[in-house]
Amino acid sequence: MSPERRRHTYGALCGLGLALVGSLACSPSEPQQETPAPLPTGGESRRARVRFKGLHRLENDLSQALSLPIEELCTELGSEPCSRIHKIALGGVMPYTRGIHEPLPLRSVSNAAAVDRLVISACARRAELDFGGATPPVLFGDLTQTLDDLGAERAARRLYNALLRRDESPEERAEIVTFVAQQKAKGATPQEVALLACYALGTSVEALFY
Amino acid sequence: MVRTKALLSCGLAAVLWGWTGVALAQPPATKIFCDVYPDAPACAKGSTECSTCHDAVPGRNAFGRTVEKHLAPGEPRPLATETFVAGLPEALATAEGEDSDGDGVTNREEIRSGSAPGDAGSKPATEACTPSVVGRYRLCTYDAAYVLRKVYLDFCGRSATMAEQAELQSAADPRAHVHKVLDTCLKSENWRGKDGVVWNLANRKIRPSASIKSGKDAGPVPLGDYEDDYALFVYTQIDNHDARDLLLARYFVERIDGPPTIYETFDRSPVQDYIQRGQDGAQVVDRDHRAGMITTRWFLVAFTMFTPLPRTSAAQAYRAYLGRDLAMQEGIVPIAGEPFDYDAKGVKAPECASCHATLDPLTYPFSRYGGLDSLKWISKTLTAYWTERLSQFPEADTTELANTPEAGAILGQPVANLVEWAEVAANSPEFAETLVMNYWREFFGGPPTAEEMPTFAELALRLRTIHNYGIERMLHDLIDTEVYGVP
Amino acid sequence: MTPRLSRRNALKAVLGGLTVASAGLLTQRKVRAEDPSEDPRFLIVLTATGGASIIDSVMAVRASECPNASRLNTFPDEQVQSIPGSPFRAVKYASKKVGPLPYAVDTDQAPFVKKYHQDLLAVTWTTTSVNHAVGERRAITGNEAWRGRTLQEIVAAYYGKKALLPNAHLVAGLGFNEAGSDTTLPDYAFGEVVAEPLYWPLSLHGTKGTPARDKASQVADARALRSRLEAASEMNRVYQHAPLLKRWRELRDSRLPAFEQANLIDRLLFLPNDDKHPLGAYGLSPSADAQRVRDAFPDYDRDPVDAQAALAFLLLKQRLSVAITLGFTFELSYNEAAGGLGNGELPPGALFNLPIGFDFSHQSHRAAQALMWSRVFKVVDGLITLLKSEEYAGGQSLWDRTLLYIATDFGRTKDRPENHEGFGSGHDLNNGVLLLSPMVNGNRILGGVDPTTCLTYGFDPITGAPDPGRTMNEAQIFSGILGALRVDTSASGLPDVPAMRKG
Repeated sequence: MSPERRRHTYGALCGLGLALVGSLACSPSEPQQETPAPLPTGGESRRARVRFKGLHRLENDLSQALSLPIEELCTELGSEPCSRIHKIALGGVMPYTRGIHEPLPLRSVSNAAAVDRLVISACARRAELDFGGATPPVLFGDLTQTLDDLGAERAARRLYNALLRRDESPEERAEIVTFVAQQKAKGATPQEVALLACYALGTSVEALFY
Repeated sequence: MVRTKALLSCGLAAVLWGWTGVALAQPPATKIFCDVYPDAPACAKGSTECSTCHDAVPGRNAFGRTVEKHLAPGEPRPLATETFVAGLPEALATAEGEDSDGDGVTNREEIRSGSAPGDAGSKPATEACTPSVVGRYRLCTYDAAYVLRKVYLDFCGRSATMAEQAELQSAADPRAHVHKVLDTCLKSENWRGKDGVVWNLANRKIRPSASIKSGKDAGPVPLGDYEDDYALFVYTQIDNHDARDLLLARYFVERIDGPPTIYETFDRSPVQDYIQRGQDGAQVVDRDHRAGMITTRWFLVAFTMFTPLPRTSAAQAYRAYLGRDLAMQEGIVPIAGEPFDYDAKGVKAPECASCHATLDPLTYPFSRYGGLDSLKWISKTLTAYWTERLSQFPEADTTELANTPEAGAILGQPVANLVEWAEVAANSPEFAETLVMNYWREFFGGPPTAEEMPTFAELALRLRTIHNYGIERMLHDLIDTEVYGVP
Repeated sequence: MTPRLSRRNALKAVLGGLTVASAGLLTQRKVRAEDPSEDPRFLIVLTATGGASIIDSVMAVRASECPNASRLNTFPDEQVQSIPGSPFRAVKYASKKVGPLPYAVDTDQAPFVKKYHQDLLAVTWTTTSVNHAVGERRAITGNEAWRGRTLQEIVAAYYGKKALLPNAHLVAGLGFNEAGSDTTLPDYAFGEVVAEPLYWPLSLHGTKGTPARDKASQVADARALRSRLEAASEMNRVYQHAPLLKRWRELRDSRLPAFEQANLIDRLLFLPNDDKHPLGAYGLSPSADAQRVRDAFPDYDRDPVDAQAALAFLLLKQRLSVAITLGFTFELSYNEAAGGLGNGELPPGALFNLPIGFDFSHQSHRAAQALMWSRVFKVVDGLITLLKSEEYAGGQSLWDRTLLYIATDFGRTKDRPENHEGFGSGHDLNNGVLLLSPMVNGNRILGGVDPTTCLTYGFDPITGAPDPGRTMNEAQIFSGILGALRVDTSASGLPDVPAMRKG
């Protein structure tokens, strides 16, 4: 379909149910002008509808973010893949053997716990590799023994880029830097700090929902 | 043998009878509501949803209770259908001025605006939604960057990388770029591969069971293989194939694992297929009597099983492909003179007849297709379709069974056989709506709200009238909608 | 204690010829306890999926009692045993195969029925659907009798406010597992699905057993960081009122810490600490009752129902759940430890569950019913034995507070080809169900079976007197179960069925 056709399609659909959006969204010229007018900041989603990523998207994203094969992300008791043990809790389906044809609603505490376990295992694996010295670090190379602020800032950037696919805000960066300093003061090793920061960001709602 | 007949299958009507005399949810109500409020967003597709008046059927929500209060007051409950039909418009009119859910907005305003008059948590927006920016989000306006991120996750099954997000910023036409990405994702394994998104949409329709699977990874009691069903389902949903082939296909589809996973059609007679794939894998219906997903071997094994009049098969087909769940009193279109009760199951009883007047004629066209029982005679007929099938049940304690017609009716239209049944179904608005609903629920987690109903109805209409039932074209439409594209 | 229908009211009801419904309205029950969750009772729904026939169990019919014996599902007299001191019967049945399956069946229901007859109540009913999924749903909603709520949800809402997992579904994918349609119930009343009972306890703690297992304090710091990062994030601002995120935060920030604090992961793990499951190496330790439940359900690592039952007991013992659903599905469950085909036959103990469960009766009614009933009774026996051994309080055992409902889809057709022993059966609305509990009016059959048709008939819901002119419906049995559990149903409009409860 050509771009022109797309705009035509959009025009047809845009007229439907747009009371919410107001005239701007339905303006005939709007589709051709995506960004120019500066908009005020603030506000929140009127519809407030988000979606849980679910098992496969979480695995794919973690695998990409941490440069780990999916099968290395998480095992329980050393051998059982988390994607099997926690399949339903992570939003998967089991149509052939359990009659679970679509993901179950997020109502169980095991949903939250399984996500924690998946992410913490994956982050630990990445940290283990990065601090193991066998290969150049992929994600946590900025968290050196000194755990200094500059390294923490760089680590924040890398973590946000990897896990949330965006740059961090100054406020977010400051939170990470403060956290690193606090953990350093408590005697945490760089590898532990890496794991904890990765876990914190990797289990934040922005990493799990869209 | 003389025995008191149990009311087999009659629960379809009884489901909504509160036994203490709670009123029966009335099937015409959703249509009457829209006759009264034709311009209401909730009526965009001609009838509203049960949830307008009910929360837990037969329980009513606040609006439903108001309407009930004004509906034929003084008449004994449950109301006769005629009384209900005659009194509902006036009851709705009387209820208009009230604020049933106490959210400060009258029922009239809620109905007109598309919010729910029986839900205090739903009311019309009182303030205009002013476009604004929060970080990467552009609120109250179509946000191409937001759509791009969603398209990657919904269709490709992963987040967009920062580089992929940056490509949008540099694109001359961001919207065209998003559609290009969609095209790429529609070819991804996440979308069309085994156990991918489209594949999983078929789970509820196919209802697989590993223990009776035949073919590859056969279960211990191999009776039928659902791999063909999944392959046909996915095939109809990709590459803008005609999605009506879900019910019209006279071919089958083979999946060749990738990546990329490839789906290829094939067309063999049962005998040819038997030679090619053996007894456990062969399809069993001859070409002239095939109707896509509802005449596959798995469908017949899993739903028809041994049943002479396979009401379960008809109800499943109606639910899976037309979105009408008779057990919830959806899609009731009674046929005059029905139910005849050919198999003497007691379905003429008043509490059964109201649903079976729809279900039984819906079922007759399925009655010539054998399920597990076909094993007894398929070697003679070389197909699981056999006009004399109903004479093969000597244990049936009714002589009328063999007189069951093959002709029946669907959506009020008479049909001579299941192939015609499928044609009527596949060309109905209900079929297109169900196709769109499959994806709507996938992306939005539930059915459209009343406010979103016009968008939904337009998608279904365009799928039928412009897109020639090409699902991917519909999906391009869908990501252009305000529902998808405004954060 | 639940106030019951007074004799005077009962007399009025009978004399006045009042309907069951109006009798119900006369006897809306109130419960005295301010907060029932302080003194809970427990419901176990054991799914006999596929159609468990009551006349292949404690209401079996002898051929000598039936003029049409050769055409009906009657048993040779010697296969139907009477149980002394009870109205129940027990089938003793053996067969070299189950339809096409080369699997020998040799079952005897008598030991079970003798052991539990005092707590056993059989009630007849005629249901309203022969569709599996629909019949199963109606078995737990009483055909939507109370705003579409399920029995499990009602019990969870009533008794489960303080339980961490009030309504646990240890089996999934059946109509018995469907959520009810009354969304006004509190969130905690809805079922939580446990797809893998053996390993599920691992998902009750965010870090224990993971690489961060010895970093509790640091993990707490990281969680605090997470909250601060979320507060600063653009997504949080945009979607701060998204219902799904609110629910997620409730699960993550309130409920998960409570679970972790309660150390449910260790309290519920019943895996052995061995080479296959090196719990100790991961900082985990099995429940103090692990050995006990493994002894009671020795096939826990092969038989899904044994694993479910083991977990069910632990959930009840720990007061974590008040409603538990477990049982048999449509899926074949094969004991690979028993070996494969030998001499063309499946070895003894090879089948934990028939393919399509009780519905295998289509192929071979007698053998399928016999085998599946024996499986049901074995699991029930294990559960009751454990529950009896556990003190609830004040000298009462956990079993004294528990009702076990053997739920099924529907009955089976009663007829068969002349003198055919290997016949297959279809679905039939007419049937009955078994309840086991010290709280039910035990050692009774409410209703009866007409030996000339093998159809069951009903009973007077007030007095329990058999009534061949009546059939019981789903709502009545649903209500009777709730009554035995002392749930306050006064706002429901349900009929009262005092005949089903004890005392």
